[in-house]
Amino acid sequence: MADSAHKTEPSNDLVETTQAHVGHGSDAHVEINPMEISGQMVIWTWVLFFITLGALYKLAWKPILGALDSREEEIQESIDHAETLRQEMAELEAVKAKQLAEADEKSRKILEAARKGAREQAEAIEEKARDEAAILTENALRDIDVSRALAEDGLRIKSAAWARALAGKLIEENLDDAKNQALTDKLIEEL
Amino acid sequence: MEHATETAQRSHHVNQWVMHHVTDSGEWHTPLWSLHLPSWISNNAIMLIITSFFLIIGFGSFFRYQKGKAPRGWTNALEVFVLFVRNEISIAYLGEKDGRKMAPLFLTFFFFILTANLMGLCPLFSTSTGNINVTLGLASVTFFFMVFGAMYVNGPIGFFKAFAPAGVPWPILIILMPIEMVGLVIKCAALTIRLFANMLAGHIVVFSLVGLLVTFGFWALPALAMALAINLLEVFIAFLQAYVFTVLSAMFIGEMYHPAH
Repeated sequence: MADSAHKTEPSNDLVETTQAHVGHGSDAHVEINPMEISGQMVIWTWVLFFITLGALYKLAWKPILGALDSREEEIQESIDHAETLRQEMAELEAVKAKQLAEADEKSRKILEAARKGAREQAEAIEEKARDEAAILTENALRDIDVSRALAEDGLRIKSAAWARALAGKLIEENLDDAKNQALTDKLIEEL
Repeated sequence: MEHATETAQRSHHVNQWVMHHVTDSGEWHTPLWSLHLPSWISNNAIMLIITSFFLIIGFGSFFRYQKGKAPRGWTNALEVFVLFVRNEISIAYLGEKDGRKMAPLFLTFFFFILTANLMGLCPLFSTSTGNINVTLGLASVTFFFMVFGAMYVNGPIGFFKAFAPAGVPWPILIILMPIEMVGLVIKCAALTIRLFANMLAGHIVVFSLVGLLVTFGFWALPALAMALAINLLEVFIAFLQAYVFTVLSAMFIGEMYHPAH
């Protein structure tokens, strides 16, 4: 096959380019071994890798990782602070609820005491009113008794006068005032 | 017959072309310029220098913090990755104390590998992580921390105790300890090969699909769409491999820092 290749040269630009690149003639058989170890290339790799590592550490990784760490710390602090605030709020809520409960209890007691006081006061007023009413009733009854006694006295007097007048007419005896009075008093006395 | 021979010839040259583009070389050849590099530096070393320069300038200049103000724009976007790497990788595998301390290493691993991976997908640049020496260099950094970091944290005796699980009879330890020690190297070798092979394979696939066009002409036109699709997949792979390397490094270092016994 190699002999054939010598005889028939492909007139192709790429082949010529390849020959030019590889740096050999058309009959060249270049042995390219991709597994060939080159110490020089390994050293180039080390040197360039460590230069890159050092430079990037200084220029990029340190500031970036530092910024990430400080941001993480800030976020953690914010979370911790928020947690502290939440706990404080919960405690305040508990205190508020407790105070509200105490105020509720206190107001309930005040209301109860006020209600009790009002009830007692009402009862006292009622009692007093009842007593006063009883006194008034008693007084009124007494007044009534007095008035009735007075009325009865008056009626008695009137009745005696009428009876005397009737009796005078009946006996047709004209009695003078002194006699009339004496008779009347006598009759009243008798009544 | 002549046509078949010509196709075979093209295929051979495409193969050369693909391997030339995915492996390291002493030149930086683009359609715009062609630089022949001195012997002490290679194309992939240039890519690593650009990667470092981009990261240092980019992260050093564009990300600014103002005290007392919330981060905005790119700073905010970067913070998402930084937080993820610190919390889900570094702290998750190394614990709160060591995880915070080691976060810059894993952040640099992630962004260094990611930038190098993505650079290979941009025109004019190449994938330095498709070079086994680069991935070996990175994995050896992990190895360094697995050995000397663990010695610093647990002491030399504590470091060797990590290879001897508690309760295992001593005759078994004679066999087990060397296996565990070899395992330390194998873990780093796996890190090396995984990243290198993934990045190399992805680019070989993309270049091979483009090479099909050269070999078979317009008949292979659908391969261009496939190459584009694979290239988009490579963007995802770039992120995934950077993540995988960082996670596995954190896991391996974490296992040595805090042995499970």
